Amino acid sequence: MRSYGSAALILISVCLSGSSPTVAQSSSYRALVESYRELGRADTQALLAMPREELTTAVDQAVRNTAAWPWEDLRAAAMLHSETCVTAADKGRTCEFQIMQAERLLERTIGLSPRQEDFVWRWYHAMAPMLNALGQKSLARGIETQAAEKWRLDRARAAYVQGLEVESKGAHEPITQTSAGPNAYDKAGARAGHFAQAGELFTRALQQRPDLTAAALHLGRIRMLQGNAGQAAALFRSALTDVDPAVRYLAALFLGSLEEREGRFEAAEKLYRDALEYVSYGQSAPLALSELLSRTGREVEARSVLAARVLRMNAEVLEPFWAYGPTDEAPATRFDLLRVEVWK
Amino acid sequence: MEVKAPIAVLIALAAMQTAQFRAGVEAVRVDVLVVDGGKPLADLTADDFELRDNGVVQTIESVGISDVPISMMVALDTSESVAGHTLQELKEGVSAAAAALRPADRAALIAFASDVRLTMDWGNDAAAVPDALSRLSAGGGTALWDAAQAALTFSDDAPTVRRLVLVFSDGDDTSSWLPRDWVLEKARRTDVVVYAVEIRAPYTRPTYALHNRAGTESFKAVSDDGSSFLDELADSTGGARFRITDAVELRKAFARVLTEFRTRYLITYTAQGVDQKGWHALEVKLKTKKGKVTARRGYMR
Repeated sequence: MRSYGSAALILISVCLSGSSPTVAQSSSYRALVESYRELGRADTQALLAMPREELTTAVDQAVRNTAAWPWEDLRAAAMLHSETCVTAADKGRTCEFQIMQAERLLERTIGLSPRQEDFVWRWYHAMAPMLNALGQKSLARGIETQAAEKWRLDRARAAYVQGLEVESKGAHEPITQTSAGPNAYDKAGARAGHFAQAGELFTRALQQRPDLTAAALHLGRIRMLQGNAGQAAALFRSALTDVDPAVRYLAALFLGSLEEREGRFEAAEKLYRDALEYVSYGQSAPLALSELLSRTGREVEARSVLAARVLRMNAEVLEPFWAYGPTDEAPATRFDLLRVEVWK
Repeated sequence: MEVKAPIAVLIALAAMQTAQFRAGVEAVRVDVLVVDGGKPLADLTADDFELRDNGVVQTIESVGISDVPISMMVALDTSESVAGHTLQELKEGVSAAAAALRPADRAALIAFASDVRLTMDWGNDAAAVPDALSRLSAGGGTALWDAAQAALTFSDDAPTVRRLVLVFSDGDDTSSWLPRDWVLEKARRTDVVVYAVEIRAPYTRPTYALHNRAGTESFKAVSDDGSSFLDELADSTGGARFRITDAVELRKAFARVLTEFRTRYLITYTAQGVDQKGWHALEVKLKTKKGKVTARRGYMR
């Protein structure tokens, strides 16, 4: 797992500006949010320098004026406050005020676009472990409590989270050595047992909430490991409609690998290229595409995809698969994924 | 930098250019190592070799020797487990290997952990290697298979070089997207020779993180016959795998790779009497002289 301390917001160095408090105070709140959403420029110092009353008023106006503030901007504003909180927490300062503003903006985001409930759920589940890692334990606990209360009645989410934990347990079980060699999916082994149990939990989640297609992604992978490619493909197809680009990215890759194994190279190539669009900082997608191009005799293209997307000097990498496991793992990656999702 | 092509290169190039005019039939290059009693056998010529392509004896057009420039891609495992002493020895070992490169040789550097990164692009400034190495730090998982695929794909595309990929790793893959078998297939399609240096205790039980990403079938770290990925990678390309147990041996291992690679012969021929497409099984042996020949098992067209 990437530790927060070392990995910490791989992109943040690109985005932090060095503007002074004087300049910041003259910038309007709206301009700060636009700059963040359009350019990925997180002027956290400006937000920290802004008087609380002024900031509270600005957020009030944003959540009331829906004509001027579409949900995409509200969501970006929430992430800007989150970035500001992380910047403060990294220096040992509390940032509860910034979190409160982010929560208000996110609540309004859901009001305007109900599907963003998924983003907000992911936000709560990234922020709590993140702030915990930064030593803001009390604030982290508060966020956890809020999340538990908000999704208290959502049994589908509960089954999904439990499924992630059981799936992870299965993946960490040793591979069974059989007389025919190592077997990754020994039907009698503990590994398979955990996967089967996780499969049941994901199935339950989907029965309760068919729109929770992140569960379809995980169930699809389990079906794939169980050798049921047909069911896996159908589940991955449904996960391609997920609101989370990281889920779409992984669904496209898994489905692409199934297509490639069946020799349907054109379909696989399209899916790999789609994955590149969903999350452009990933490595699995360009590696998969490059491998496919090489396999189909297009060595020059294979090389150029690698050169452009993987083997660049000082390339930033943000691979959704690093956050595939339980929700308390890889908080920095989860946070980075939220950030890039709100940028235009 | 001006590169004066040695005569052997010009001959090899001429042979390849000639081949290109034969109705699109490409020249085949086979990199072979010949040893006798553990020592490289020198001064062999085309007449000393017999080469069969899918069982059909071929006419060897040229046999290049160690004067042909080397393009060395180094792929280094910088996962968490190499932190500290091993990383330091690794840097020193690669620096020493780079210092042994000749002016016409080229090098590039890839570092891998959970991801794969280009640390130094292709160039023939060996002095740039220590600087690139100084930026490396250790952390993360081991995407060995992804790194191998990237190194093979990104090998030097200059036509008149012999391509060497030198892979260093201290453990099994834990986080690649690509399945091992696909990477081995790729290795069989290239004319790159892979040398691998592996550091590990005599027996290390593999540990697995969640993320064998493709996950469609096996999480196999070893083949059914017990050979490791690096064994198979080296074997399928006609290279070799050196296993060491202590990082202090790294410098010696890297030097050995380079020394051995320089003694290899580059055989060029145009496949005749066989189908051009598909898998070509190769068999290379000495006609009369005594010696052990190591070469790739075949190639894919």
